[in-house]
Amino acid sequence: MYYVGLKERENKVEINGRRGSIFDVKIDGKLRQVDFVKAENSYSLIIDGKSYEIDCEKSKNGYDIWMGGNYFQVSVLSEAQKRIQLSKKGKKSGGPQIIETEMPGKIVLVKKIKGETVKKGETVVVLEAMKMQNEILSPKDGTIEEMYVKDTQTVEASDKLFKIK
Amino acid sequence: MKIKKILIANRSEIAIRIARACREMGIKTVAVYSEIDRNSLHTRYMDEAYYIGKSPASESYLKIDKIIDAALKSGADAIHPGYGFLAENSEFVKECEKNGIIFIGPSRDSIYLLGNKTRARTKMKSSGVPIVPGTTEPVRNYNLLEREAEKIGYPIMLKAAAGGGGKGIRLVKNGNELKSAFEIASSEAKAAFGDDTIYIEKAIINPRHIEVQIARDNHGNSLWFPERECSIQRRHQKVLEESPSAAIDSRLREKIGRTAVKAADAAGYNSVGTVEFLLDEKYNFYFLEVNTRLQVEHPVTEMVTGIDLVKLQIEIAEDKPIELTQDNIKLNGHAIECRIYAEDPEKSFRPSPGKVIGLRVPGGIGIRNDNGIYEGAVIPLFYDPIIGKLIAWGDSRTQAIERMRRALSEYLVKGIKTTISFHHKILNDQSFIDGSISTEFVENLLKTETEPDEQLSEIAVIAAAILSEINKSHIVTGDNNNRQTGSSNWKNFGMRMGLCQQCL
Repeated sequence: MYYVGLKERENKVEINGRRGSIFDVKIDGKLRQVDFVKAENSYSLIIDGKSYEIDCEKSKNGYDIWMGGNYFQVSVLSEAQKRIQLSKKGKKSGGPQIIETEMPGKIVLVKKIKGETVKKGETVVVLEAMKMQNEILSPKDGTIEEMYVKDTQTVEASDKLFKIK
Repeated sequence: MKIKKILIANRSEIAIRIARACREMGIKTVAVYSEIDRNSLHTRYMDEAYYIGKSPASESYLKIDKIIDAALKSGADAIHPGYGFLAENSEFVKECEKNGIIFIGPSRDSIYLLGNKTRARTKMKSSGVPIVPGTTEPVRNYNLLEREAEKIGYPIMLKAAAGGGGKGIRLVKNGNELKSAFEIASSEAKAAFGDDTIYIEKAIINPRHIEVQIARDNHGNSLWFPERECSIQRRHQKVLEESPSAAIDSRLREKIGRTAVKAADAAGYNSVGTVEFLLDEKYNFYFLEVNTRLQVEHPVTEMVTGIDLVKLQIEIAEDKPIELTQDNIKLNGHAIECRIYAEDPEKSFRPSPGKVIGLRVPGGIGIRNDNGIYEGAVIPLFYDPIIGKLIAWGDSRTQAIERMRRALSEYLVKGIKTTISFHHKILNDQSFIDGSISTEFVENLLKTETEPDEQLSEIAVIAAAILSEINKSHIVTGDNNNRQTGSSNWKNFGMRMGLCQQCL
């Protein structure tokens, strides 16, 4: 059993058997026969005579899938991984949050200092990347507990920007 | 003077586009490249290539002395600046002149006049070209800005006097937003143009952004081309352009075209260029600015008129009179251009630099690809995020839309995020299909949450489960999910695809 997430929805998918390139797949209680073949750098799926061409790359949580100009970010959990996730969930609480950059760039403006209170949606840091200024907003009402960056500093993707409580 | 060798002071798709015209004209090409661009497509495509400095643009593509050095070393007769970088820098033109190198673009005086928005507005106003209401002088201090803003009346636009390309522009809906908008617009203007001067324009509600390609030679001959509709913008950066505009009939087309030529005449313009207008809901149009360069979106005009604008631009730089007459400019069909950016539309369009590990570009009837990438190419963080342009031609707007949808469905870029999927969303939107658009279009579209296609979503889910199963049991060998290097054959194929020319 796999727990496959796409957007907000989680789907339970079972692979019940395989004969050569034909996979027996159970999704939402429905059984599908999927002919799944790898070409040079893409995959071909034929399901009930319908043909689909997909490209994919492994991602952090699952797969990035491209199909006819559409792009899907799909997460996959095995049964074991799902159990771990469920046991972790109970412990989560609304503690301090560390905001990281999701893109590399240069800090052009630090608008808040340590100890300052901020409102949700307020600009905390302005980051320049690819010649555009991007305002990094506070995700919630709170206090800046730590400011990790200063003006003109260059940052890499997933560097810490600030901590908010 | 016949130009025999051109240095192209630019990179990526536009450098390739210009080099292609040069090759067709039998002109030798010279590339310049920064450290990170040693392996970029433009460096490899041209006849000669010279290193000009470190990766940041300020140390390479904006270095006037290095570029002039390369031109002198290579013996180039002329420099084509492309768009961005030094394309609208009158200092650069001066240095070209000093060293006896032809600058492929308008005269220094024209660039000086038109490059500054407040100077241009003053000139156009006195020449009888209608301008957007607002200040014709820069506003340097905040108190004055506040007073002027009140006088003009909100909503207003703050714009960089030295601006262009959508940088240093902010919409201000009311007085509360003024201060923060002023700071950001100034600092963006400073970063992009080295000049933080700001002026005010009254914001026109739901305008269309309409622009007219013009050409004017040293002998006073001029041409205007059918308008381009560029209302599909995000943060004042064009996303998708088309020609002609669904809002303009042949009478209005001619009126705007003639006004554009009037603007070019007033500036003593002598190259190809673009006069930008805002069109309000009552079909009044106002002069916005002149882009004194080749535009990113010039291909849509080429597709509907069959005229090579780069060739025309080079011929004007050679001091040739324009041979075409206005009667030769015939509007044929409809063309759409989708700008493909290395940005993640799922995450508020944040830049997505990185390595392209997979690339398939569309082909077929009526499709043109102007690309600057190949499989294995690295998209650097240092420059504009545009990686290519996809252009579709059809005999009608409907056919062009259908063809573009088909082409987008064939387009694949792996390794970085791109705006391909966002273009799909635009082309399937009813307002877009109806041609009822304004510069608010993208913002409105982003508010509407479109559900992904249910059937395709299910296929993606099934595929992901099967892939997990296969990777778990290692049944399929030679899986290239983590392919880092790729075989050179694939790279070469990608390069060829990247270069795939219009396939009509």
